[in-house]
Amino acid sequence: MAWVLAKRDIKIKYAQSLVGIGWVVLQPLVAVAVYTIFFSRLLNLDTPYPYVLFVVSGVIFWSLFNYIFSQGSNALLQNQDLIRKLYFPRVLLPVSKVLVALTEFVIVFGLFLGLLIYYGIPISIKCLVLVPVLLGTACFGLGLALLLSAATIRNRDLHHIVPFLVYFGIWLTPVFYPVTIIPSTYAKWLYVNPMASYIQWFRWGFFSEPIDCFSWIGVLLGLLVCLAGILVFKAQEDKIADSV
Amino acid sequence: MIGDSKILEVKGLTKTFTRTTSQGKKEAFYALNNLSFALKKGQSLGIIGKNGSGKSTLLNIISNIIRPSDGEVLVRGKVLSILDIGTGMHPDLSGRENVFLRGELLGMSKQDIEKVYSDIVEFSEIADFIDTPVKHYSSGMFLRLAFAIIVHLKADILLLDEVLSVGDLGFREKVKHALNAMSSETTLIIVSHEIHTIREFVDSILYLKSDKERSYIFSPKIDFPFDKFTADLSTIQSEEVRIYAAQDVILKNQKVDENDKGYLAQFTLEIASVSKEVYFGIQVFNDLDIPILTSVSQELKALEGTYRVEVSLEESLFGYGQYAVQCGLMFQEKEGWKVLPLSTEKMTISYGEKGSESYPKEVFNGILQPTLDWTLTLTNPS
Repeated sequence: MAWVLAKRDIKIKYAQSLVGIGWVVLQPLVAVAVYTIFFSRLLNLDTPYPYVLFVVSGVIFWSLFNYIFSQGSNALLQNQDLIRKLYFPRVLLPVSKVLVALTEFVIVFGLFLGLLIYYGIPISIKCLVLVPVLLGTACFGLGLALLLSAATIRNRDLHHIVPFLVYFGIWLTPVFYPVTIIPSTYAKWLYVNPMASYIQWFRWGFFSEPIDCFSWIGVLLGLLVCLAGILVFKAQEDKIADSV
Repeated sequence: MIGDSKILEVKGLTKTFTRTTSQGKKEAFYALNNLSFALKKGQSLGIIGKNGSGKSTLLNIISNIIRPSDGEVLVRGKVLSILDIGTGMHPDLSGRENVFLRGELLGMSKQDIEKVYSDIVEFSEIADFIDTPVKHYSSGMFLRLAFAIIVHLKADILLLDEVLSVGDLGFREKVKHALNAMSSETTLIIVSHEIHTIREFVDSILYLKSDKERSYIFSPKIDFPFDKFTADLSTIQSEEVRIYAAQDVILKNQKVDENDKGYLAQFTLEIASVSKEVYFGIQVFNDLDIPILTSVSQELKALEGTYRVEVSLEESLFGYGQYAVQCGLMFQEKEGWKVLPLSTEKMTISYGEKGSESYPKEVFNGILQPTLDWTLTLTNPS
């Protein structure tokens, strides 16, 4: 069922669109281009490996998180007609957004691999960290989405908080700036942000960036958010159709 | 044993909602109150009632979309609910994609849909447009496609919410046919405002009243006449028209003498005061609940006391069958006409009762079968 909903989303998104699946690639490409020009050229942010790779590795996970969080938290409102007219476990609506996001991630990740080959970066066994990082990002995004969905059932305007969180969140995440530019006393607090931890673990896996042990806090926090999201959402599930 | 088992059981079902009053207070009100009924396998149910009588709430609870406040619903088998014609269908997707999407959303597997896909397309009569996005369809085409999917679903219980009254006449007949064919394997539960739109599909009726107590009538067979007209006296009176008591209609088969072969409708009213013009009226409904005869008295003024009102119906007017006869008192208010109806009486016209007809009324099935004056004139005398 979650797949049916996800397939529906994907089909609707690309039905009758000119560039089709190309939009998936185009969006992060533009972000990467902007960051590269601004931060690498103008601000001379330096990374031990090509800045483009650095930014791409951040952007693909941030987009993944952004999509799951924004779309997932909006999924109930977006599908009110389905909720009112069909029975299925409501949690599948946000979950289907995760599937959509992961599908798109596969495409974008292909782009990342292409760049790796282009720059001749060797891949070690450590790259398997991709799997837990991917799962962690998805779980954290879903957890937040579920928490917010549960809250928006009661107060619809809470949904407006999402763009703020995403907007500020990217500044608290080393997507386009390396952790090294932050004074080391503050840097460890960055890892309380689960997304910062996941992205840095990914860079550890592919580019052997050093990882701070504080990042375990972020990893754990991400999973806790996920668990909390599921529990809170479950408790609210029965009331959803009454209040949409 | 299996043929006798209950497929749906509703026990003490109650649902309350909160509403905000004009003073801004929140108060609970009942949408359903202690509702119980059961359906056996093979039985199909029509749910009727006015707007706001809890029909949709009941369907929503049976379909698991909302939870009851109290009581329970036991279902044995697969329930499919069509609460809306095309939920989940998307304008940007083609007819073909929508068939699969809608089918899968309703819980069918892709393989199951593939099996009936060609039947669906054929039924919908839009094979030439099946790969066109449905936003380019006419509303009629969209309905055809949506209905084609519905009638090819497989389920033990199929819930339909007021969806039968759409589409052109020819297609509606087709849908009726398909639903009738389904009803041998599937228990149909159909909601409607009126009984006559669904009576051919269902063999039992649940009538939800919109009164405060949320009372209901569950009847395992469609027994006509249904008491849709019985009204609460107090809600109909006004300052200018006050009635103490009204007795129900008595319908007498007059067989006093050979020439007087009608029915006499009779009722008694104890009127406190009537300071405006009132009228008495009679209405006869056929077994599809369609009013086929209405007659209104001349205006009456300044009534007070106990009255016996009588009006006779000529039996020869009617064809073979069952009728409901309803009498009432009518008067005009600022908001419009008010009708004080009295409970309905059943009238059965059967062949051979009077022995005066020269032909069997059940064979020639006009709604009205009056005795008219026929003249025969020879125009070319030889």
